[in-house]
Amino acid sequence: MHEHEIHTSLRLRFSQFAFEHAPEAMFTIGPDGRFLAVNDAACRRLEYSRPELLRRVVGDIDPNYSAAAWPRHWAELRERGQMSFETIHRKKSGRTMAVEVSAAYFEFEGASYACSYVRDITERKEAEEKLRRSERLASIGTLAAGIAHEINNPLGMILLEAQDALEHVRDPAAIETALRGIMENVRRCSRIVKSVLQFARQQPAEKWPLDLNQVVLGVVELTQERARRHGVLVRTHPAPGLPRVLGNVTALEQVLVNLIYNAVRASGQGQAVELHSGHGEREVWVAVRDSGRGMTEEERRRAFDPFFSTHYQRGGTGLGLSIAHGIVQDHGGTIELASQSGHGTVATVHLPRAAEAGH
Amino acid sequence: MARVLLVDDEPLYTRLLGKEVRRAGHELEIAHGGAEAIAAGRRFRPDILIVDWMLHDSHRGIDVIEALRPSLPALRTIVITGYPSLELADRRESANIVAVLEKPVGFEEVRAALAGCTAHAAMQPPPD
Repeated sequence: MHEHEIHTSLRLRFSQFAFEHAPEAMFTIGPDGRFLAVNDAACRRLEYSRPELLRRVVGDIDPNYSAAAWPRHWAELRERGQMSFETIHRKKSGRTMAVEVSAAYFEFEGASYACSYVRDITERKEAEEKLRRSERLASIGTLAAGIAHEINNPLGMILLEAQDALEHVRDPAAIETALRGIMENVRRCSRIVKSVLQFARQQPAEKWPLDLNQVVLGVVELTQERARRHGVLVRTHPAPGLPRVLGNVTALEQVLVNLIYNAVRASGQGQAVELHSGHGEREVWVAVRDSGRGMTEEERRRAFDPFFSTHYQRGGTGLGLSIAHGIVQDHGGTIELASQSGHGTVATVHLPRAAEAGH
Repeated sequence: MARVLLVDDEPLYTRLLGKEVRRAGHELEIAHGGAEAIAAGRRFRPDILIVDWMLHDSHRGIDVIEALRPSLPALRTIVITGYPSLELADRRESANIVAVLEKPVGFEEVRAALAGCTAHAAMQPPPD
């Protein structure tokens, strides 16, 4: 009996010691948001002494969990039992750090508590931001190279046509051919400039909950005429009861128009382009399927690169899929291409489901 | 007179530049993509290759040069490009690129580059 008590007290002291010396910040929090226990790492990171920190509530160090919003957050934690999220913590000096919080709700002898474990992820966040910036710079470089190439190409043809015309000033037929060539290449330059502007203008679009099936139906109407001219039929197979997505109609229409035109171009006379929709637990998808020539592995890999195109000779700028990719990314989704040479291509746009009302 | 293989995706380019090549007294063969250029090069065995650096099929200008050089060690190359990349500068010597012409390219620049190539050839010892 006596031995057992010693053992228990040792265990308690050991637990207390482990809590105090844990390498990450740990907090025990009451239902009112007040800190009931904090460890050394928590005090050190937040630059408070222990008594100072124990007089504070979560809202004092985390602007996202202010006193007004606290009851709602507490209720959510109680309901879910456990939560992980990223937020910002403010130190005593006013400096902030990015943190990742894992919190658990528990009840002990009739009272409610939360225990949270907080990791400083400032360095990781900065590294991520650096990577994003370098990727952006790299893509600007790729874009600049592409623009130079795509514009200088028609400019070169304009120059040669003009020189050729000068050499044939007395030959009206040669001059007419040259002038037509010049006009065509000027139009091509202007088409490229327009696409580049559109590409550069990609910015977060305003989004509303919408029914992707409605977007599909609208787009098919827009593309039907051009498809008919190619001798291609566009058919839709909308899944019933499709959950809504948070999206921008115009931007998503642009994505689908692009995918449909690509599919139509790849198709032969009499073939069909099929649009299916569906959803999973977290996502809604639309697939554009053709049974055309398919893509080589190389084409599939480079499909989203700016200025990569398989139909330059027919007016493609190579920016369609890059723009589509940017739009879908802005919606938190992905575009997936599955293809086999000679067996057609399926382009699938995956978008996250809109949160249900009340969340 | 030299045998010249001219490679560009744009038929208009090859038509007009081709005219200049013929006018300089050379024998001309034209190809409109990388794969076509490699096949034509093996058949036609050019002395001079004029090639666009950024072709739109899966072969690039450098792929054409590298595919042809083993069987044509004396091949001299003129690269035409809309964008002189770092890679082009890096590969210039190893790929025996005699001239790099930046688009827009006029007739006179092609004429000068061709003249440079033939002068260059005169200074080189003949291949075994």
